[in-house]
Amino acid sequence: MPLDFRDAAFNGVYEIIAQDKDAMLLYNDMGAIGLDRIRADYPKQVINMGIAEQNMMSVASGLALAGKIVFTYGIIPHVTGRCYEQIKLDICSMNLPVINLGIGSGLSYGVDGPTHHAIQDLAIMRALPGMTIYNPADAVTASACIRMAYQSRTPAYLRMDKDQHQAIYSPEHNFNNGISTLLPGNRITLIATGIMTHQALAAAKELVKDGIMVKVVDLFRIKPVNRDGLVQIIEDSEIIVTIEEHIFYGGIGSLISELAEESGSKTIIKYLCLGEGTYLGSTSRKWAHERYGLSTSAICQTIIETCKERV
Amino acid sequence: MIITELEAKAADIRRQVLETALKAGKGHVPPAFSWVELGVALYYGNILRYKPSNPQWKERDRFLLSKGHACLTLYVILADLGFFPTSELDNFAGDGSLLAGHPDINIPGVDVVSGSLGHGLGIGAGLAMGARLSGENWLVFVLLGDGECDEGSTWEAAMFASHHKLINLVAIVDRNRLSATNFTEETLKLEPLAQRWQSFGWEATTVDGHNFKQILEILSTVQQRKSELPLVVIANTTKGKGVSFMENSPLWHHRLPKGEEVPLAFQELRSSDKNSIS
Repeated sequence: MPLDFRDAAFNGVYEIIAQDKDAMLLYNDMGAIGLDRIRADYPKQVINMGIAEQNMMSVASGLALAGKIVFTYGIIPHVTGRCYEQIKLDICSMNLPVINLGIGSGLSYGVDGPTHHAIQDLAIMRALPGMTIYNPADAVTASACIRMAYQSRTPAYLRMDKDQHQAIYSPEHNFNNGISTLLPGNRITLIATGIMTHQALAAAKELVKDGIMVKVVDLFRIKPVNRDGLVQIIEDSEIIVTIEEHIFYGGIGSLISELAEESGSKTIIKYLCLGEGTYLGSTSRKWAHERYGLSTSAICQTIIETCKERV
Repeated sequence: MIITELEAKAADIRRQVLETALKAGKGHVPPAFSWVELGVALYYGNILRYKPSNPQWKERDRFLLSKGHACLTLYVILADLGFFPTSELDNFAGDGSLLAGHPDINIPGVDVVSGSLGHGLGIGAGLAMGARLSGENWLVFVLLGDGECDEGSTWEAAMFASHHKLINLVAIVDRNRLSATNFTEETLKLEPLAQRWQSFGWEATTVDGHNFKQILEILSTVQQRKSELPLVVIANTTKGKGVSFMENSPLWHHRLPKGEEVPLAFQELRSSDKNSIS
């Protein structure tokens, strides 16, 4: 299993396209090694749609209406915000089997400036009825999500990080629940998503030295959310810190606050995220994490201070 | 049907469109009126293949009303053909009605949700591509508004269809020269429209959109077309056709006749049809 999310995802798409002649892959002139392999071996099932994302989604809809199962691929802002009406109407309102693979979650393309940042997409994609959203923390999860999305035959969106990360899960893991508790802990919980799960694990490891045992939860299926599982986690926690490379609105911080409100719990919740700006200039990941409280040390600091608040 | 019968059917459809809209107190009547002959030609002139008893018949031709706001004509035609009970028209745009102000796929005979302009041609292109990949020989007809050709997504789809030689896709533009608030040529010039489509790699034909002979002459050739270019039929039409005070006016987009205008409208629709069936 490769460590690269995109490679793992395209390996999964390759297997599907190889055994299902009705599976297709559309892309907006955005390259990928795994995609090249599929195009070379199954050219009739792959179409370069050109730099025309609205048409890509409308055509995906038409193909699905004609009986195909369609994967679409491109950089996240281009395949979400840019063609949102088409996703909403042409795909979601007709509940079609179109699986949207977006590369570059969060600040994967941070140095390329705001046109390539994917820090609002969860907000808009969560608003779509019938849309399943996966945000894997490792390539193993990405691969599993491809299979789950294909099997469900309903609209789906898979966010892929561009950087490589260590595997957290084994390929045999059951990903049906949408969340995983990676580390047990005593009533202090970090809920993270995507690559920030690695940051949460690193912070948890540091905090052990201070005698603080934090639970780490990986929230990799953002919609439909595992409501019961998360409400249980909220009720079992005195303190929760959510961590995401996304703005607050509509991300997992929003989601947890919605669930906490519903459950009426008194849990103290802190939200670590990317504020609400447009980040001009070269917004590299490491620089942004330090600036916006998402670095390992900042996460630890947040937990320590919140523990004092609780006392 | 012979041409006089088609003309009578068109007059009948217009009357029912107006009745339905007046009963509901809403509806885009003038945009619906401009494509009545086109709709009647497609559904009654032996062009579209379909089965009202089996709206999901696999071999059916697909018709996409991309200018979804003009759906009253489609609803009246589908009801007339038996896709759903005519009584549904009485509840057009009512509470929880099957028939909303723009069409969706819950309606038997409707293949796509439409109403947000600029989507139909792309979806149609995808359908056409899918049919070809599966070796199926049904056709896809997409009816667009001319104002709808303002949308960039229409041209993305046009490029795609031409590039991939999707000749099983037929576009029809209801060229009534008006959009919601003004004449198209005052807002964003579309002319020379036929040449624009041609420059995007389409074969463009212009017809009088109210002349059955011309419409059928071109549409009856599409099954057997041997060409590498998809076909667009630019149908010169009149918005509000059939009621003189609605015709060709920016005031008449979703305005309904009221007071004395109502009997005048019906009088004109009756007298324009010398061969009324009803």
